[in-house]
Amino acid sequence: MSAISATAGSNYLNEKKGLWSWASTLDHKRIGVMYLFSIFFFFVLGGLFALLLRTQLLWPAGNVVSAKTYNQLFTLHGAIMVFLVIVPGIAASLGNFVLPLQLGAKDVAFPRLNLMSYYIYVIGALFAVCSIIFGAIDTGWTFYAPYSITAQGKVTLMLTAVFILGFSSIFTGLNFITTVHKLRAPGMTWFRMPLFVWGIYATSILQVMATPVLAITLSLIVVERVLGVGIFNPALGGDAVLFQHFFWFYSHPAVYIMILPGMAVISELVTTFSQKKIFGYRMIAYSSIAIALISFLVWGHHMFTSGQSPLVSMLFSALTFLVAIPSGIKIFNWLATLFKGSISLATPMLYCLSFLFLFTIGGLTGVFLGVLTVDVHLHDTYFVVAHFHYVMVGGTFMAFVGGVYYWWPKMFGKMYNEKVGTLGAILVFLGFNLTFFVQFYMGSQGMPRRYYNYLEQFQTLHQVSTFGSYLLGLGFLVVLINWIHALVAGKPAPVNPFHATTLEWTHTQSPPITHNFEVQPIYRHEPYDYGDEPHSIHGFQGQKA
Amino acid sequence: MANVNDSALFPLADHYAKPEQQVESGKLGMWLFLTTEILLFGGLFVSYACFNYLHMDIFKQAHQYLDWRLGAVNTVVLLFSSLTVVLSIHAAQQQRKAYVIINLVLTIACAIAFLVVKYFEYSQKFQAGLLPGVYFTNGTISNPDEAHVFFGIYFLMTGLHGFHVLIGVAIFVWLLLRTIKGDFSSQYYAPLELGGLYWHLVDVIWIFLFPLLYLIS
Amino acid sequence: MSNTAMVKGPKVHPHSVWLYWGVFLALILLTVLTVAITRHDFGKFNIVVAILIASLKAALVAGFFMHLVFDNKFLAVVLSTSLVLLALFIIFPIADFATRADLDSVETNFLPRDQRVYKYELDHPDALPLRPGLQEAQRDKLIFMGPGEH
Repeated sequence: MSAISATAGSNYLNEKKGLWSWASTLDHKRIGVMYLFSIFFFFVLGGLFALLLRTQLLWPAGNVVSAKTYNQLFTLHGAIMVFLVIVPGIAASLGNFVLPLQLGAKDVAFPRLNLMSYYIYVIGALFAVCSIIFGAIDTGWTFYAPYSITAQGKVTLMLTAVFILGFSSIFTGLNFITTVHKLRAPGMTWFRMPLFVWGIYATSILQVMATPVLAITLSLIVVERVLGVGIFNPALGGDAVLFQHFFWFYSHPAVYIMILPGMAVISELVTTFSQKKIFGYRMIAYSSIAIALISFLVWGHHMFTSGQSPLVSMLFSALTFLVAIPSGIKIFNWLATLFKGSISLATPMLYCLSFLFLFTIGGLTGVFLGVLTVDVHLHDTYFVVAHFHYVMVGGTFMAFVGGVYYWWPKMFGKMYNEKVGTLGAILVFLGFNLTFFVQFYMGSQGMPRRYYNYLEQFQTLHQVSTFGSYLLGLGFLVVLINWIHALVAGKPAPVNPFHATTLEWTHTQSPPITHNFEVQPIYRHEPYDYGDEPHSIHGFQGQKA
Repeated sequence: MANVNDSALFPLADHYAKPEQQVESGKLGMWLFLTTEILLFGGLFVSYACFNYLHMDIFKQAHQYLDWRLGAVNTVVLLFSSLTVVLSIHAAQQQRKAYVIINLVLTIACAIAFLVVKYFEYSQKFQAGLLPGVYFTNGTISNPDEAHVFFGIYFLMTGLHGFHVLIGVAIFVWLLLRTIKGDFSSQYYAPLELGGLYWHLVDVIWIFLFPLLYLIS
Repeated sequence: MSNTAMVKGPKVHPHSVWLYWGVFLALILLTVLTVAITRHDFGKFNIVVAILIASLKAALVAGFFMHLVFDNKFLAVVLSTSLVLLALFIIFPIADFATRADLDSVETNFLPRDQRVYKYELDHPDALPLRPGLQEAQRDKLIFMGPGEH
């Protein structure tokens, strides 16, 4: 394992300067960083919409905003968070930065396509922002027919935005799959790849195979709005449940597009911060692929109360139990990795542990919802809202933040402040649970989702939830401040502060040079090879590798 | 040009180690893109399948308003254009630039012929008022209230397909210009292969559209 | 990274032109068959026959014109995966439409277990508090309860 000294010389950040050098870059690392900034910008925007709508819910008959505005708020919160934040999310930002490095490659397979993916994202984002400014939409992020066909508001504009964003997702996935197949370093066989790569690979399969169905679905809605063709509109001879089949055929795999990269990050964090070889490497690798493939078989579990036939509902329910198994396998393997490891509670690890706890809750409640008879009662209640926030925020977003902290020294050559990092993690964890745990109970008591006003009996719980959301917002603010401060005034980072074993840590500078490796690395050992004596990484701050 | 085997005519990108690696990457990338097209059109095939299942009699009745002979001509035209694409690649492999150009021109001509036939078909529909959704005005068909469903699907499927044919024309014109310029040789013709893959998929989609729309009985 | 260096290209092994003409001929013949076979009526299987012939043509194009037969096997895996997913996407909605009961046919909408519950409630009127509406139900008529109602 060669030690590369952290030099203050040329790296991918400072080798070429100026706006145009960034705008025309073909460097996957710069593209990843640009995605990172864009995604967090939209996270803040989507988060603000959430805080507003939670404020409305402080009073059972409140009128902080009008009913129509409320509908727009939850629609835009959902659409922004899903399509602009979480779906590109980890894969486009951290995946772009880390994947070629972990494979020992100089870049992704199609660097120009990679840049184009980013620009397509930006254009889609602009369409979305225009839609918001010029009238917004109130259809829910799920755009159900027939309301999405007849609704006033800038529906066509927003659907075009999402259509465009879909292509960004497709091209990124296409790029990553080809990179993994064709650009691995000599000696890096499939089962020597880091598990982060396996997770991103599985995500990419979904991005390529599922997203086109979203494209055709949205196109059909636009065509129905504009030309009056009746595919989904019952008034014109169409079938509204068919829309749901179309929509969820993409959107169920989409939620795995959201969680698989989170799981990919956790595999890295869990092993580095217990300084121990991952338990069950092959099972984790296989389970990523299994999740990707099985995710295509379960979409009807979003439609149990739609009027779908009972036979098909039963089939989907049974298949849903199947998809939980690989996720469970991962959790157990990660826990087994922690066991007898030399655990360091650095900030990334705090987020990793949060993930393990919160995703377990989220995943389990997903299985509850998968039970057909239970879902009949819980569908469209706050129980569902709590479930998906536990998996998407408690799961993916915790992993995202943990991953950004983890790779921060590599990406920017600076260390973040550990104490502030810990504070942020605690606030986020507390705020999150306060916001969403009570929602499970509310939902089981019948509180419906997307409701602007509600029955008196739910007020206390709503207030707890709203207070929690403010705390969560504060926590994320602390995180952002921590990052901005680290960018501007962070201590110079060593090459491998966390003593990880993957190529991006062992064979590159912090930050890496533009073409990643001085010499093409040849990978000769098994992954996560910590040797017999895992050494503690306390006191890693500012120390050289 | 000197003996082509002595020259270095393959533009190898920085991040690839060998030309074969780059060519195979391109093919894998293009095949992944083609699967997205399959699933995109797939949505329309699902609509077709569902509405055919729900309104079988309307479909049987309405499809008679399509001229199967024009559909058959278009099928043969596209099949022939797939052949010319393959022959152009074959010519490139043999360093026969003139035949590459001839076959590319034939491909483009076939694609345009397809679009011309489509134009005639569509005009006939427009004149007869056989249009999708709210624009359906034909009075002679029985069940006019429901027949528009068939025509909605017909226009969506053939329209999206025709749009892809148009893009194919643009792609092949670009490839033709590059060939004339001398970009390709027996050492390097990957863009022709990738363009060809796209075109074959367009052909395959029509292979399914023709019987499903024109020939159900 | 768009810097390129000119190197010697890989060796080519062109296939015979006759292979391609042969495949083309087969495709034309199958097209003729596609049209000719519409003379016969296979009833429900008309569409199946049409799809089978079209699939054969597509397989010829994919295998020989698109070189799947000669290329890396993984490309065929990629294609097959998308076809399997497309098949799922077609089959499940059709299955949904095919097994959705007519709203009038009360029996098929009736969940079997409910019948026994309702029967018990009707036979033992004092055993459980009667649900609203149950009193109006007739004994010999099954009670409709669709999914989502409770």
